[in-house]
Formats: sequence, C-alpha cells, structure tokens
Amino acid sequence: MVDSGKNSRQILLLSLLVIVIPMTLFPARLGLGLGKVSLLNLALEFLFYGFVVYLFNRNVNLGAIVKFAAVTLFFRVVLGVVFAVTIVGLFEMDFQVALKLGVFSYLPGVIIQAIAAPFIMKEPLKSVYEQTPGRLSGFDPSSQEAQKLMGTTSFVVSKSKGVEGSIIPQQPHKKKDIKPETSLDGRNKAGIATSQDQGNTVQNGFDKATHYIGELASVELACVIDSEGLLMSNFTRNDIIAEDWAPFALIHFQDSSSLLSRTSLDSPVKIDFTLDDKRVIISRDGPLFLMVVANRESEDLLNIRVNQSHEMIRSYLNERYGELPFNKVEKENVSST
Amino acid sequence: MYQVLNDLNKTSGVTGSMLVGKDGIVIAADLDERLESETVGALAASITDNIQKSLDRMDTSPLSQVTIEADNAKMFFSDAGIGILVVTTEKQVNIGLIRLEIKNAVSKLKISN
Repeated sequence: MVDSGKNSRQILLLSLLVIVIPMTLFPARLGLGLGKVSLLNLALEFLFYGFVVYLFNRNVNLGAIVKFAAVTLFFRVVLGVVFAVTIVGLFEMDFQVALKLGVFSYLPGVIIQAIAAPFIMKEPLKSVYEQTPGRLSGFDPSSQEAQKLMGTTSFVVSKSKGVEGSIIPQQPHKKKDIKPETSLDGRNKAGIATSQDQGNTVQNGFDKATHYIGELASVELACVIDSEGLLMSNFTRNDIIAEDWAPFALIHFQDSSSLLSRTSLDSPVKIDFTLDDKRVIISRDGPLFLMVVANRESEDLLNIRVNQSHEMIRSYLNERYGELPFNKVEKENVSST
Repeated sequence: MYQVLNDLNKTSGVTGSMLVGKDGIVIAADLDERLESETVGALAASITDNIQKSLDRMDTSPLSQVTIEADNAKMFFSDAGIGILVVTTEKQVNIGLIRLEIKNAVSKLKISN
C-alpha cells in the first residue's frame, strides 16, 4: 500500500467531497432512503469493489482482489461513520440513528460513497493489485534481490557429457565503481594500465579468488574460466593477455579428458605444464576452471593458493546460488532441458 | 634404460614409468599392469603435442614437463631428449620428490644416449 503524503491528502479531499455532497441532499432524502439495515448491502459492496478492480486490471489475482475489496469496504464504512458524526453535529440527531443512516440507510450518501470509494482507493492501493505474478511493474532491477537473480545463463550440449550448464553472474552495478572503459585485462583503450591490473579492485568471489592468487609475486595471470572457455574474472601482471590464455584451459582439459578416458584413469582435475620460463596450472572444479600462469621458479605455495581459491569460489557459488550444482539449477529453471 | 625406469619405480608413490617416442611409439615400458603401454604412450605423445602446438601459437618457450592430476592418479610427462618420460603415480604423492627423481632419471637417460 502506498502511504505517501500526496495520497493521504487526496484521500482526505475526496472523502470530504463524498461526505459533503450527500449532506447537501440530506434534508430532502430524495425519497430514496433504504427501508432496512442489512449486512447484505456490505456484501454487495464488497463484490462491487472486487469487480471494479478486476475490470481495470484483468491480470490481477484473486488474493489481490479480496485484499483491495476488503480495504475499500473498510474505508467506505469509515466514511459512513464520519458522515454519521457530521449528521449528529449538524442536525442534533441521535447517534445510533445517524450511524445507521450514515453507514447503511441513506441512499444518496451510501451510493455516492460506495461508487467513489474504489476510485479514491485505486491509486493508494496500486501496489496491492499490481504485485501479481506475471507482471514486471513491481520488479526493481536495482534491488539487492534482483541483482542476485540477474546474470547470464549458458549451457553446453555435448555428446559425451550431455548438458552442462553454467551461470555467469552479473557484476554488481555500483555507481561508485564507475571506471573508464577498459578491456577485460584491465587496460583502457589508450593502453594505460588501470587499477584492475594492479590488483586494487575486488568485486565478487571470483575476483577475490584470482586476486588472492595474484598476491604471489611470481604469478603473471590468474583467471576463472567458465565451461565455454570465457573469462569470468582475471588478474594480470606485466603484459600477459588473459583473453589469449583463457580458451587454453578448456581445450587442454577436453583433450586430456578424451584421452584419459581410454585408460583406467578418470577425468583430469588438474593439469600442470612446466615450460622453460613459465609454469601453467589449470585446475577444474565443477564447471569452472582456474588457470594460473606463473614464473617457473614459483614456490609450492602456489598450489596451496590454487586450492584455497577453489574453496573461495565454491563458497561464493554456494552463498550466491545455493548448494545445487549448476546443471541442476539449469534443469530446474529451464524445463525444456 | 630399463634400469633407469626400474630405479624410478622404486620411489614411493610411483606406480609405473615408460619412455615413449614423440610419435607415440613405446621405447621402454615398466608400467602398472592396469595400464596398457601402447595406449599410455599414444596418450602422452598426443597430449604433449597438443600442448606444444598451442604454446607455439602463443610464442611461449618450449614445454618441458606436464603433470596431469586425475581423480585416482597423477601422470608426469617430461621431455627426455630422445622421447617423453611418462611416470604414473598414486594420487597422494610427494610431488617435489617425484619431480626430483624424474629430473635425475632424465639426466641419466640423456647421458646413456
């Protein structure tokens, strides 16, 4: 329910109007006074209010109709009571009689108030009847809940592995963090290094994991790669280009998996290449790969950091997407798969 | 050559070793009976060749060693000059010690040839 000052003033003004208009007609009654007081009148009013809200909002659900009708009926009764009090004040009538007249019996007043009530309450109760499934008007993309739901979902279908899904979360959009346009390796179009390649910007669990590995001086590249070989987060040092290395992880894991499957060995979980001057570690955890390029002389602490980074990524995924593995989430959300 | 492989297999955690040519043809093998030497030889040659080709495209230095960690074992592929030295180990091994033993074996193989 909207409870702003503007709506309150609007309700007050219109309420006074629907009270004052019958007051001017009160002495005459127009010969239309109801013969008896009946709760059936209130039930009919309730149905009328429900019908009005349904007429103007065809997508509204039953719960919202009932809520709107109940609140509007309450408002109409309150109007009737105020009307009765006004009658007592102006015409020195007995309060009980005035109450019956104001709420139930005085036809021009009751009719005017009953007809006007849903239209008076339409705007203040907009949030009630518009928060129904299938309507996006209540969806605020900037809300924290919405940020959790938004992202890019992708899945890969392969003959050997079936359907593998992954969710690439959208980077949290913070106005404070607006930076100059940069490429994924943290360099802007002018080629000037930004804070990203200096390891100063930490945005999500993936960034934290890559920056944690990057704290080691020997590390030149640490990146998280999804099941399609696309970068999800990266830390780079020197002139190494993350986009060039990212597909490397996927290609070699697929190659090694297909070859190892012909032996009694299971699929690989970690591949470690040693070159003359570099060392490359590619490790997999579920649908994600973590690739690290470091100097050959890097200490064994690197492996420990890689394992710890996997833990960080895992806990971040659990925290953000729940305990379910990605492919299960995908199957639940996309029924056709 | 078999002596070098035999010595290597005595290292704690090592389950087998073999020497395979860069074309995948087995030169000498002393592998765990669960693994077929021809298959592993072809696998080693294929994996190292694929990796080397990828690295060439990225203008990096030549490959000298590859370690693959599977769910139930580890495999080490090392350039031994005349071919690739393949060492298979259990999953939980002292990697530093294995690498040292492999380095030692590679130098012995290079001397013997």
